[in-house]
Amino acid sequence: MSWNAWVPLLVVMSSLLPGLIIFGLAEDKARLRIALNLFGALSKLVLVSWMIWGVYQGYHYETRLPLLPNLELVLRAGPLALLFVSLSTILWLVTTVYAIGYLEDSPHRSRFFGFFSLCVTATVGVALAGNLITFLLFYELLTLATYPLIVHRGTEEARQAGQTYLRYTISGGALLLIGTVWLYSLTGTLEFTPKGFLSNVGEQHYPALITIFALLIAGLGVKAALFPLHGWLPQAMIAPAPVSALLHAVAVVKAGAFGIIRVVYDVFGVEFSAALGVLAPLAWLAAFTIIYGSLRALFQDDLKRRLAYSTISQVSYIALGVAIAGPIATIGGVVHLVHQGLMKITLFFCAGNLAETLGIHKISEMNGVGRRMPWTMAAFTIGAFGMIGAPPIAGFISKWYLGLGALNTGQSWVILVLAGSSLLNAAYFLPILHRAWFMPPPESWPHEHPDKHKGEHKGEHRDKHYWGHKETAWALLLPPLVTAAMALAAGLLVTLPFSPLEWAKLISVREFYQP
Amino acid sequence: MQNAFIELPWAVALILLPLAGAMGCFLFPRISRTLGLMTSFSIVVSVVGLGWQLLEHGSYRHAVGGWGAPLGIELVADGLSLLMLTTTAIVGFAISVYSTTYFKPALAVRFWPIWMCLLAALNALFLSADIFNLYVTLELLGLSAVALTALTGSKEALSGAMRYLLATLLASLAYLLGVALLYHSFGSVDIAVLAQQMQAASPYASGAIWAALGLMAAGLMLKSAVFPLHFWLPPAHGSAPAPVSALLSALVVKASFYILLRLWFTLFEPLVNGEAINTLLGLLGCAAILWGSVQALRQTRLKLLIAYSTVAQIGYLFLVFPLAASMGSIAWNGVAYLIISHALAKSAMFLSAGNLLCFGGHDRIADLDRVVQRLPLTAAAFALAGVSIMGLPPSGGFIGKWLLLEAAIIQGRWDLVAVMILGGLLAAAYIFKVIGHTFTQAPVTHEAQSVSASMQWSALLLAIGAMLLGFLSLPVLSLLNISDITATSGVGL
Amino acid sequence: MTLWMAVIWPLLLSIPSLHNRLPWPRHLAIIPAAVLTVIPVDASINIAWLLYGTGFAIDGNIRWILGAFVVIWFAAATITLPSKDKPSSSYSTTLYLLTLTGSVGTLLTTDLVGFFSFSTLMGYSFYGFLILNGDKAQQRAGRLYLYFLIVADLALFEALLLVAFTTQHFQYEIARQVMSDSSSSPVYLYMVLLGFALKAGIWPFYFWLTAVFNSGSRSTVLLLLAGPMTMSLLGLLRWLPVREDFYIIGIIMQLLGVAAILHATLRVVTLILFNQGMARFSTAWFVISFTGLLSLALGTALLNPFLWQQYSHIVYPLIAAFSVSLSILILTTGKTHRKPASTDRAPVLIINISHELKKWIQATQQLATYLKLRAKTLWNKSGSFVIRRYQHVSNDQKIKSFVTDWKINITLFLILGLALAWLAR
Repeated sequence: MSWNAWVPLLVVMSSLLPGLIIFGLAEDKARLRIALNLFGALSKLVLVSWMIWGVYQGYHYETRLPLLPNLELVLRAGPLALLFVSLSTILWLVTTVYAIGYLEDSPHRSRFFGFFSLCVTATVGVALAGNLITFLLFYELLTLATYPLIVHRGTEEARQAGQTYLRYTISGGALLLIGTVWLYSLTGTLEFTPKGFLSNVGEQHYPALITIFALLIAGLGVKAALFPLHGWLPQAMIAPAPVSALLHAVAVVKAGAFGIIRVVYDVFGVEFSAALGVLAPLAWLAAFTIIYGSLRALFQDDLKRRLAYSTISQVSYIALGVAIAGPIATIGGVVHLVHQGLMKITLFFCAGNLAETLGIHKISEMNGVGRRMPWTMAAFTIGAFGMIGAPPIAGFISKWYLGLGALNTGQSWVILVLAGSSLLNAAYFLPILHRAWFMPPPESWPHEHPDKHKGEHKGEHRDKHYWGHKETAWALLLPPLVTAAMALAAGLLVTLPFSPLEWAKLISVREFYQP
Repeated sequence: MQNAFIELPWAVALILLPLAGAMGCFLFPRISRTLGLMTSFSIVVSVVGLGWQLLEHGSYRHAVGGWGAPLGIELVADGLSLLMLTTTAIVGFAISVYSTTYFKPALAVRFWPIWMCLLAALNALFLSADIFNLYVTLELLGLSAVALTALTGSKEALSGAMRYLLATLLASLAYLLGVALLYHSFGSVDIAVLAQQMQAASPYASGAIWAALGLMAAGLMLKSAVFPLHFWLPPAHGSAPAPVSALLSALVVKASFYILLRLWFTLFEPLVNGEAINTLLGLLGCAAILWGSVQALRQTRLKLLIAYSTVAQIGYLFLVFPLAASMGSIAWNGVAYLIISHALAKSAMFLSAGNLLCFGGHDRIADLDRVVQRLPLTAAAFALAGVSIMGLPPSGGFIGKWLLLEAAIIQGRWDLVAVMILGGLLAAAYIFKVIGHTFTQAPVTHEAQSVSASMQWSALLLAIGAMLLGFLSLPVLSLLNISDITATSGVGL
Repeated sequence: MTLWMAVIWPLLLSIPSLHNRLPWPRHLAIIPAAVLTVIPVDASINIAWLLYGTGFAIDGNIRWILGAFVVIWFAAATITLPSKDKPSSSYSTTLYLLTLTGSVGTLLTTDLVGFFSFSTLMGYSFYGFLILNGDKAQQRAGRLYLYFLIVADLALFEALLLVAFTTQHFQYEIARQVMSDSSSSPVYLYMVLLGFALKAGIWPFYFWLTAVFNSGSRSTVLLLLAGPMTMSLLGLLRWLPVREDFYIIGIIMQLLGVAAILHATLRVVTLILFNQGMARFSTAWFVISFTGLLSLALGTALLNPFLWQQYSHIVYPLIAAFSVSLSILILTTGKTHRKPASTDRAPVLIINISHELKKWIQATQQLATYLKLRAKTLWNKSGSFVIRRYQHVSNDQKIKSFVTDWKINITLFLILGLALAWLAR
């Protein structure tokens, strides 16, 4: 294989190999583990940047390995793949730093970081997949790699949450498998091609194709948390905050949404899907999920659960953008993949900070926390306003394009859904901000964590050696600020060449206009 | 040098070496472990040699002592038998490594000779070319397996072994009756010859031939523990030592299934072309999948769970009959792949169960106490093997399941698709039940014994092998398709 | 360059650690804006990389209003000097400065998207300012303002979408021209009118305005004048499409304007007559009458676009003059203010409606939870029933021994053999 053919494989391996090594490390070798983690993350970032630069110059990066007779494992760097891969890589780097700070002194860190690296491997594989079988392979690998992270704490509660998670995701995987095999038996190929590869399937197979579409979307919809397949997501919040942040805001949920994008654009083709009539039900389902998720979020007192329902609602924007079947709506859906990832991960990081430093898990305990942790809450505010859709933060841009796309294709009911969702988002985010900034703080926080770096105290924990001037550990503070800044930049600087929006426009052009 | 290496009579070596090893272990009990290990290793080398030979020359026929068929014994090797031999060699080697530290010396001196005998029987079975020889090896296999099951001498072991013995003797008797009937009808026992004659005689097949088919098939199905004749399997597994359970599930039941496959698609092929009989076998397979999986879910002991999982997986194998009846080389490939990956995965599971038993003194699932942290290699072995059993990518089980699903969808057999998917879901349920409990703390912590490294690593390496099979489909399938032993139009053989 | 500074400087100053170290930060923040007012040079810059391509500009019209603002803000900043040592005054300054940034940005920006962005910043910062250091009445006023603000922002967002649907350009004149001619202009018009009416407190959406005037301190009220209210009026001027067909809307707006003026006059007269002597409260009504006047003017303009083109540039200095005079009025009327009257029914009504809505939603949710619980128990019961029957059957010793009985198994075996043989025929 030429050098260009190795690069995608190396991108996948760059987190697999450090992960496998980390499994074998003893618990106390913290420095080595941190070094390996950061080495993996940075090398992946370097390789991905290389790929982006190379694609910009016109090179092709594709790895082909034989898997089955007549089917190959294909890793290909196209624009959509690069979008998702770069999002995952950057966010993995940030989350690794966060996780190192969060899990300091927690048990079983080697196991945690090993599985963490495996998860990122699977996500990157999902992103770079060049045909449906490769996608399926890494998609299931993602399920298997995330399960140990959910049950990491080893409590009975965690085990039950893991069972629920598996029930949903393994069933989804089975549906995806049937759909894929059926499709393969009908068409003999599974390669992702722009505009789909089903154009020369005869008319008598159309009912079969509709069923296959339903199966594939059901299988992907489990991870993408479409109603009624969303039940695992609130349960999975039992995992530690870095896991919730990366996986349930970025990797797992986005893998499902990314799969839906792939199926509609590169397997069926958007015009063919519209002709088959399968996009309208998908749009309705996505719209229902948007409203349903926001409504459920209104009634949650636990912060992470509220964010989980918010995720359910927001990820369906992507499905809605895809289902509206217009070039501008495509831009909206695809760019929301990036924007929602940035904003949601900020929110989850902040929630993790609150839980880890002050022991706050419920919104009713959050009175006045803005004075104690101003930078964290500032990042939270930016993320929350982005979710509501206030300019100039990134969420505004995606809502803009979704609304515009809806107008363009004459489906104005979508605008009502978007407006309703913005209202509901404001209804459940603004009270949190109000509590945090404008209400007086309580006497003491539920469980304030002592600063571990302030010298030894044998036994007694009280007053003196708490954080003092510092808000919290820098490893916990820096990541949310970085992602909040990125969300702000993604909104302010939309017209720059490498912004997510420009990239999404490129993808849309390829899908709709090029032959 | 290379040529000389290839031209050695590897097939004969494959049978003679373990026999010699058995005798050596019996005569020199003190060095039986080393001898056993060396013999296992030499079997692996022989299989490599045989494989090379087959790649060079195509399928291979060797007349023992220079006396050819129909009077003498011939050894035949083609793609399928090579794959079975390789599996036997690898799994056998792993079990040997495991057993060097598992058995206390008192048991070990009884284990090694019988184990070597069993290996010899297996190898001979996969290399046989006539049905009487198959009977001899089948019988030897059965008796060795029974002896190994009864190894510990406890009450449950003896009753389980007794049940197994009676079942296996009944089956062998039926098989022998079938052989006798065929010999009476056609005057030969060589498979190739019989196949030709059956082809000619099939439009006017007499009652004897049908009876032969019925008896032989039923006997082999009893030996393969397909539903509803699986009653001997769980008790035998429940009481046998871990390596013995591994070889029973992984190798012994596959041997009788192998014979069934051979006979079905070469010898009885003109007779069984119709729909109904294949449907019956498919139905039994579906029932096995569902029943075995449901029963596995209900178990509270780990080894019984794995035993019922074997019952379920055998059901998958029986789906080849309805699927391969028409056009089926995809189904054929799928089943062969499933046999190999199941052998690796199931033996890994049993070996890791043995580790857990050794570690905690019990194998109750709900009381598995944070095994993932204290015995990480074993937990990893169980999990990886479980992935293959569930049919999730990337593993050998996934490849096999994919191929079977493809064959089923192409032929429009949606009922089989539904059963296979349901089986996969149920398998995920019982495997993750176990894995979930390995993470949590048990109510009562038992004192931990240490488990030797060779035991842990042999289990883990077998499980990794099952995973790696997921990426090696092209070489393996090309080996499978080395030409067949008969000239008749066997299906994809 | 000064254009940039006018916007960025207050933004920078709003960071708490920065303005805690500088003396008189609120005064410092308006210096660049003051410079811009004083120097009579028209300037504009084009910032293609920000948002969808925006820019800042200043010309004669804008200078009027900017001048008014500088004066008012200076006054507001000076008034609050004595109360600087209140706790949380640092955050109060932050929000004050953010509102300032928003106002300056809204004023100076050259296109619709920039306007919307800065006005959002301004609106939410003002809300925060209201809540932070106010008493209960002011906080209630703030909440009212928030509800109105959210709906207004939604309406303006839809309006922006319509513009984007029709054209690529967002500069004021171009957008207004295009929207006047396009087919979706009625909807656009409704959205713009609704949004800005809510934001500026034009009759009949004036409730939050009176609530803030009633309860806020003088600097708050001044800030309100110089910030959200005037900016919204400005926005109305800039966003409104003018076309001949808007006959009915023009009439309605004229009617509303007249109603506003009448209502305001009535209220002021009543107040003076019954000697409740609430000057500042009456100031609010002055504001309302002014906005009513504006509404009247716009209505006329809608009916007769020609008039609009001739006289539109008068409105800027008019607004400036009005703001300054009103602020002088406020400054001189002292600190007293009365408690919220029972006549303030409307704001109470709105808050009551929101309470009712919340209770209704909670009731629905309780019903849903109850139903879910019933369904779950039913499912569990039936599931466990099935499982218990199954376990009863499979654990039964008699059945077990039946299944493993040799006679049964041998019979099964023979039946199987016969079946196979039969089927092979």
